[in-house]
Parts: sequence; structure tokens; C-alpha cells
Amino acid sequence: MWRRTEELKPSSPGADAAEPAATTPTFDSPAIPRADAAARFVPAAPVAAAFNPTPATAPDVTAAMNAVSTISAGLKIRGDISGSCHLVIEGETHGKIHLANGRVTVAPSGRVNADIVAPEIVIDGHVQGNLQARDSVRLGPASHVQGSVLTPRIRIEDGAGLRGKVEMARPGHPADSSSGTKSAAVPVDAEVSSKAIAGAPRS
Amino acid sequence: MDWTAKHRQNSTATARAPVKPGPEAAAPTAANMRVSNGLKEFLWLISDNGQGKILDLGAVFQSTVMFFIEKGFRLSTEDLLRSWKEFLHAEEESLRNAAVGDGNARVSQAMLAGKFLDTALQYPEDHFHGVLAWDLFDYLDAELLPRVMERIYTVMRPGGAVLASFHSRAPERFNRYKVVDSQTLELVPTPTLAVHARVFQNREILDIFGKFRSSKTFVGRDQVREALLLK
Repeated sequence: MWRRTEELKPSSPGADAAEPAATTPTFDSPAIPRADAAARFVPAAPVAAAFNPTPATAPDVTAAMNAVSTISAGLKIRGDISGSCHLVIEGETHGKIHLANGRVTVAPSGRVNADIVAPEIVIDGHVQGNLQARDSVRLGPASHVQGSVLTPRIRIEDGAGLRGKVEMARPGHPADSSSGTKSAAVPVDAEVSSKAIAGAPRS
Repeated sequence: MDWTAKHRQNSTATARAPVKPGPEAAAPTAANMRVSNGLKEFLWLISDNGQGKILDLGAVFQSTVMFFIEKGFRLSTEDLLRSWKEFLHAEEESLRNAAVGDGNARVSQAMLAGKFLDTALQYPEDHFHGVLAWDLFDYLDAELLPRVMERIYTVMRPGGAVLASFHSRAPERFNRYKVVDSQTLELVPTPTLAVHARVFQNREILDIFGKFRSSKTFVGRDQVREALLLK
């Protein structure tokens, strides 16, 4: 979704005014304004290429999908962080991190004192807070996490430190349902995987 | 991501074969594998508790986590030795930084043990169905050990089981333990986190678990004694 809106964004406001959306040749219905069209059309990557004057090359698409924000070493942030891009934390943050899309990476020098909610979480530094991932969590060999982990998939490297609970379930679906975890875990895994293929940006 | 794809491919087979931690990990050899009769009995004892809660007091490993989760348990981990070492290090730092003549700078082992347990092993009472403690109790300080035992007893449910291991002679190296399958452990040589404090005789092991109602011990060929105790 976020990639499509970027591609529809005009290069400048003036260009948008000079060239009404209705005349955009790649949209079938001339009555649909561009903004509406953006909301109604949900193109996947191949469709997005169709309304670009020059077809997007694979590196262009990858670059758009890999927008990364970095909190550099030496920087300390207090307050909640939310968004839809990848986030790398090399500094220190105190406040909940909530990404609708993308991946949160806590670098070896990074310290987070709050919960992290994101589709994908990679920890190589220190986290004091709960991790909740829609897709996966990876704890690197130098990671140190104090808090619970809720995710359908987890990867723990030897040397990782974890003080807390591990629950393998999709966030929002309680892990302690009456059915056994084994039967619950497998469909959850499959469901999240298919979602990831359909829409989530992957590197 | 490669690792998630790999995990998806292996997800149905995880109960039978452990997930390897990574391509760079050394393949386990027979020398660092250990048959654990205690683990087999421990699993049998807690098998009636569907969705039972397990507390692993050792290092966290992918294969251990997946083993218990695939069996339907909920796993919490707390690397008590590592926490203790980090706590002592932090205390040393604060003592070093304390002003000369500061009366608070002198602390006893008992005070340290009490302060450590203000933040460690913080769980509700009667919470866990099982506790795993390989190479833990014979590495703990004499002041800390009885307090840890008391706390473990408190957080366990009645009928819950503890599986612990003790060395019958001073160990040559420090290992962490990975669960490979229901009766096999992989020993992972690790830089020493704590000095082996003492060798416990069988009678002493039963004494430190005095509040538990039932016990059973197994001695392996490697002279490691496993103790299985019921609350």
C-alpha cells in the first residue's frame, strides 16, 4: 500500500494541476480523480509498473520498499514511535515503538526501554520491554531481551539472552486458547506466511 | 528472509528434529550429546498438564524453545547464572564508584542475595508446572542457594516437577544445555559464568529440596547426577 501511494504521488503540485488525474491514460475511468483512484486501486507490483511512464526496474522497486529510518548511536529519544517503514535503532529509545509495516532492528549498540510492535523484529542489542511481531522475531547472539515475546515464528541465535516468556501465536489470538499450542501454531504460521507474500515489504 | 522460510519448511518437522540455530553453528557430535533419563521422566510427569508452563533457568536456545512449544507447553526463560553474574558486576561497579567512607559501601553476601532476588525470579505463586535447572544449584553462592530454592518452591504449582543436575566431581568445563529430543541434551561449551561452588552428595541434594514431597535421582556415565523432584 505505502509503495503504491508513493508511485502515484505527483512530482510537484504544479504538475498535478496541469495534468488532471482524469486524463491519466493508465486509469480506465476518466471520472475517477487521482486521489480516489489511489484509494480504490490496490495494485500489486506488476500493476504499479503499468502506470509509470517508464517501467520500474527491480532496483527501483526494492529501493522504495526498503525505506529505512535510523536512530543513530548517541541519539536518545523519549516518546512513542510509529510509522510504516523499516526502523534501525542504534541509539536509545524510551517509548513504545509501533510499526504497521516494516522491520524494527535494534543494532548491537541500540537500547530500547519499551514495548515493540511490528511485523518483523530483529534484536542485536538490549531491549527491556515486550516484543510482539506479526511475522517473526530474531534474537541475535549478542541480544539481551527482558520481556515477553509473542510471535508466530522465532529465531534464537546461540548466545542470545532472554528473560521472559515465549509465546508462539499470532498477536491478538491468545496463545493459551483451549486447543493445544501445536494445533494452533501450525495454521497461524501458514496464515501469516501467505500474508507476508501478498503484501508485507520484505527485504 | 531466508531464516523464516527455512523455519516454515521445517515447522512440521520440528517435533521430530530440532531446528539448527544457524548455518554457522557447529554440528553436534556424539561427544557433546548426553542421554537424559531425567528429562524423559520430567516430560512424563508434566505431560498431563496441557498448555503447562515451564520455567527454564538456563540459557535460551532455539531448539529448547521449539521442543517445548511444539509439545504444547508455554516456556519462560531466565538465565539465572547470567543474571547473577551481571548483578554482581553491577554491584561491583557501584561499590567502586561509591564515595570513600560511605557506610552503604559494605555489603554482605546475604544482602547481595536478597537484593538480587528483589528483581530475579519474579513470578506469581503456584505458576509453573515444571522448572529446568541444569548446572545451576551447585554453582550458586551458599547464601543465594536456599533463597533461590525457596523462591522456586513458591512459584511452582503443587504437583509440579523440578529437573536439576549436579556434578559428582568438579567439572572440567562450563556447559549450557540444549534440549535435542525427549531424552537427549546437547552440551554447549561456554565461557565460565560462575565457579563451581561445591559437590553435593546425594543426601545433601535431597536436603536442599527438603520441602519437596518426592524425589528421584539418576547418575549418568559422565558422573552428572540428575534430580527430579515433585512439589
